[in-house]
Amino acid sequence: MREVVIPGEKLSEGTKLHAGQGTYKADDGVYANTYGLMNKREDAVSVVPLEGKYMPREGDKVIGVIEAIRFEAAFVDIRSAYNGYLPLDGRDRLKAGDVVLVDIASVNEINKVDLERPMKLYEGKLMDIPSVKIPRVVGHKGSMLELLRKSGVTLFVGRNGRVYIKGDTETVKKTEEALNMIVELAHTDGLTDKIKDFLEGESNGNEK
Amino acid sequence: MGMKSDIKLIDAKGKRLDGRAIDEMRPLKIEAGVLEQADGSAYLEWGNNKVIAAVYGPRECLPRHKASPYGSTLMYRYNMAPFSVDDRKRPGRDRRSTEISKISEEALNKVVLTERFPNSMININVEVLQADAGTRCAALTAASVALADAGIPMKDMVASCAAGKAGDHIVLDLGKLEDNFGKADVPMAIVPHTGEIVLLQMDGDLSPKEFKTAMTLATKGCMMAYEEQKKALKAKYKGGGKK
Repeated sequence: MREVVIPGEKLSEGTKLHAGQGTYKADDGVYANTYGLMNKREDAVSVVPLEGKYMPREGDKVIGVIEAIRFEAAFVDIRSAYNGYLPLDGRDRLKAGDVVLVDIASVNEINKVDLERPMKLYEGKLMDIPSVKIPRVVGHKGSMLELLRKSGVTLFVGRNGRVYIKGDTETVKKTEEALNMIVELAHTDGLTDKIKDFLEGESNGNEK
Repeated sequence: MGMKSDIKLIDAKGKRLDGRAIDEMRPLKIEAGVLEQADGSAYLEWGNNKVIAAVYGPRECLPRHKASPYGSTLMYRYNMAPFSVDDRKRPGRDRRSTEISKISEEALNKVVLTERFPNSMININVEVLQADAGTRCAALTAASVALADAGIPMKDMVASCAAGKAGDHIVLDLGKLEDNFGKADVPMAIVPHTGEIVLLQMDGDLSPKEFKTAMTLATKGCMMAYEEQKKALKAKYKGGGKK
């Protein structure tokens, strides 16, 4: 189990280690600047955040909700501090309130987000989970996602913490429960096995 | 501050009205992540003070004219509930809460890495549910935990505590009677690792020597508050699940 660190906590003496994500270098050592789990290797140290809003990054796939259409572009809520800007080419029949799976084309230095290639999502259910937990929902090389999709449910995961689920009522409910479990147990080990047990009905999801 | 009374604030044995030693803090308890809707939150009890802090953001800056391309705008709101004091506090902003909000905002601005989120804002709302002297310190201590809980990057935490003069002694963390009938109150907030002072005020009169003693004592108090902040944040993700 990795150690939980808080902002300002000293992670290593001296400045030899490379200061990775969530850390900074001061005169006498490397410190954390985020509340999260410490990842210490021989040559580098970083902190994986446990909380926090989604920060848009170029190349990410996110699920957005269209807030407004103005001229030939849509303003899309991507659950971040910043709205996404999606130019439309006239063939996209999108309106406010639509849910889309989009790519982030670019993010500039003042975090202006440009989106591209929207894919409209119909029906189904939209679920919001903390974006910092998404890597666990996807799993190592998509292993967790594969596990969740075994039930035949249509599942899209946006890097911004939105999950789109479509299928029959029972499967959707079960998938939702599994996702809640992942969020709750995200910082623990052996997560894939726990979820596997749950989906195969050997656990009721209450055990910690 | 400075009200006249016959109360002896410190007895012959050097004990205070509530039985504390002069360098003893009231019991402090913090819990992180107590609100569902907020991005980050904290609940704090410090003696009879009860404070709840909620952080929202970074999010779109409203009103727009407050947005800055150089960084996120912090908006700190200190508010006392009408039922937080005996009698009744008239609800809403007043001179005192505006002042406290301003100085606390400036204190937190020193540690939050606002440059990461240009053109956005971060709202910090602190509600005082029960007041018993030292609420600005309690509020700032809770706000700092709530900010960390919201996952907002910061150089360090901000820990806060007050010292003051009751009777003829310099004491740590004034209680209500000591605040009302004592001679001076020095609230202070520091950045624990560098020892940088980010908030320092004084109400009442102290000699330069007394002031220095009070500052040393308050620094000690801040470090104790910091230990509690650390405990609260580490406890949230202890063991198996979030609980």
